[in-house]
Amino acid sequence: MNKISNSTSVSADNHISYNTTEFNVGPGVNLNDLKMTEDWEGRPASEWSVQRIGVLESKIESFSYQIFRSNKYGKHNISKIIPKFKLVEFANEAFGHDGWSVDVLDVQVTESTTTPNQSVETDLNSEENIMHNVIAEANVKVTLKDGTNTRVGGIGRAVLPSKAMSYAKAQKEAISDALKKAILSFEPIILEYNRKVQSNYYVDGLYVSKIKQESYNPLGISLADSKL
Amino acid sequence: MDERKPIFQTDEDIQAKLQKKLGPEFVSKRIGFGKNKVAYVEGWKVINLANQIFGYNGWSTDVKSVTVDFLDERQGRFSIGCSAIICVSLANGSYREDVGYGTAENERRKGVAFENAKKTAVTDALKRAMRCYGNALGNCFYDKDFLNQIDKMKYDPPDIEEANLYRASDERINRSRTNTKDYQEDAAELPNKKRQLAKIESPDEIAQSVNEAPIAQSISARTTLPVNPSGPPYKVPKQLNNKLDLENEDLLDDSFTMSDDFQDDDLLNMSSLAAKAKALPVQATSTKPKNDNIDAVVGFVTAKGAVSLQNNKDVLPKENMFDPKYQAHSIKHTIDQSTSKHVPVNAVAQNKAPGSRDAFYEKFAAKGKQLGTEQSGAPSTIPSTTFSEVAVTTSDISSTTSSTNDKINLQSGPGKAPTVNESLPENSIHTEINVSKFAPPSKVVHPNTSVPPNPVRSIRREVGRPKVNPLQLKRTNP
Repeated sequence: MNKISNSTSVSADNHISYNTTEFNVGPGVNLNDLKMTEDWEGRPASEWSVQRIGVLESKIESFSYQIFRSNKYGKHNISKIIPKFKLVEFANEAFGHDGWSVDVLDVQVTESTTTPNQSVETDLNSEENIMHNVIAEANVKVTLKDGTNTRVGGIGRAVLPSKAMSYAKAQKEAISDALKKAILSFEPIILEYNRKVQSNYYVDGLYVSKIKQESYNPLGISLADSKL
Repeated sequence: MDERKPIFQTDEDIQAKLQKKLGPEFVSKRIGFGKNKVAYVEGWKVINLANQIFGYNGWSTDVKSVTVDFLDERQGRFSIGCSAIICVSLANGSYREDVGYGTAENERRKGVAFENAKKTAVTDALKRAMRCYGNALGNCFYDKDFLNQIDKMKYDPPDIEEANLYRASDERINRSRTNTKDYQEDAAELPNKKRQLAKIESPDEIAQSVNEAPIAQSISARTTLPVNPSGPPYKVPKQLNNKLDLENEDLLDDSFTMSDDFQDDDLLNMSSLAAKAKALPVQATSTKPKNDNIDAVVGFVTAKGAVSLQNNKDVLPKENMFDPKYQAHSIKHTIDQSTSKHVPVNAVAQNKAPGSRDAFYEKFAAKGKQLGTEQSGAPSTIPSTTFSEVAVTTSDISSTTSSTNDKINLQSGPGKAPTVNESLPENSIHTEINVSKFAPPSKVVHPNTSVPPNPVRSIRREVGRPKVNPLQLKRTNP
């Protein structure tokens, strides 16, 4: 569905290769204007990712169903309930170990304050009784191997007597939070994509041909369908 | 485990391995946040696992950033918090990034504090990034149910198998080539230190080998010179030392037999080395084919002498001759390594009849203890030897009784008179053989005060036996 696969299918059908073709334009025409640049931010890049994200969603769904049914927790956001290792496991099963990548774009400690420890007797002078309150924010990007990606920020907070420990915990929590949200936000991508395709939202690039094809094909049968 | 698999593994293979959970041998425990026990994998184990799963060239790491978050100084002690971001990427381009944290608290020296904090941070980040690849790289250790189950599994770490270790001796051949030059230089610096070669050939043998095989000539002529240390300085033929091809000489050099510890094989094979020399030097003939008619006497040179040979000196000084009989006073010699002779095989072992009971038992006897049982009066599993000892101690009486016993046996079997002589009890035969080992008792020994003759102490001590026996008490046979 993306540009590369399209061009290869053309060359395979017609035995014409465009690999070594040089494209030139005359004066007054900018070659860059003709380039078909597509932004894959926020939409799936191929059928593979659509299908794989579906698999991931079904795994998450079945896991969260067990949690919500047990009524152990209230109606929280699912990213707070599902552990990171489970999500990573699901992602590895759905996309394959080499099917997805994690970028840590940014980790920052946004706040670091000290507060007296309330649990122990208040002795403000002693340094042992100071709690370090650290808040960290992180930005994580998860990319599938076809280019589909999500980019989500997360936040982590730790209050611990040891400064280093609270720094460590806050930063790690921020990253975990962001990663969890990033993996979970593939679901809205698919939903959005389906909605937009159905409503003919995409009018640029490769979708134009698809729209035309669908417009002449009221039964919804496409030529690319393997059953035909 | 996976050593025999190809380095490039298929994705399905890797995927299947990554989905497996880790066994108890990978679990370590520490005190984590809030004083509870935390299971973790050690960093080196993760690296080993990654090498096993992805292949040694299937993954790589990038340290994206190392950030020192704070550096606190309090009463001359430093506390440091340091975070690192690491990217672990695979051969096909997918990657995982994660953050790790390292700390150093109350460290007296700043450098050590930084070192510890940064190392810890990088290792931590590596582990956290790795675990996103799957269960086999540490992801399973976040599963509490799994950890509880694996706690119940018993695991005792295996002993180190010597065959699996990568030893320095694996590189011995390569090293010995590079080291030979160092050897010569060392020896040139210390001329008094004469090394004794394990490979010792008499001049006659060498002359023989030269006559028999002209192939061997080039080597032996090059590397050897007259042995006789008392003789006059020898003339060295000029053709030889025009160009000494060091590289080839190193190849032919068996310099590790020259090392200080003599190998047993060398001592045993000294005589056969001359024969081996014929087979070896194919390269030498190709490089030096014109040494056929040399009338030089052959012998050994010291390392210093070899250097002077290369410097084209015709006359070799007397002190450069290698003396195989030389014995350094600084070394305590236990055996004479300049000569060798055959180790005499035990006469008793030779005399054993092939079908005898003794030889039969020998198959099943414990290998390690055989020496001790033969030499000492310790209780033996071989009945014939104990029988022989009894026969010796009780001397004439027992032998007569045994013979009478034989006669009784003969009488009990009346119809088998002609076959009796062939079916004599083998024990009695062996008593005669074994008795000949000891001197015949000169006087009549009373049975009560009898002492087993020739109380040879066994060289090999049995385990558990006290090493000191101050009263010289004899062990009684049970």
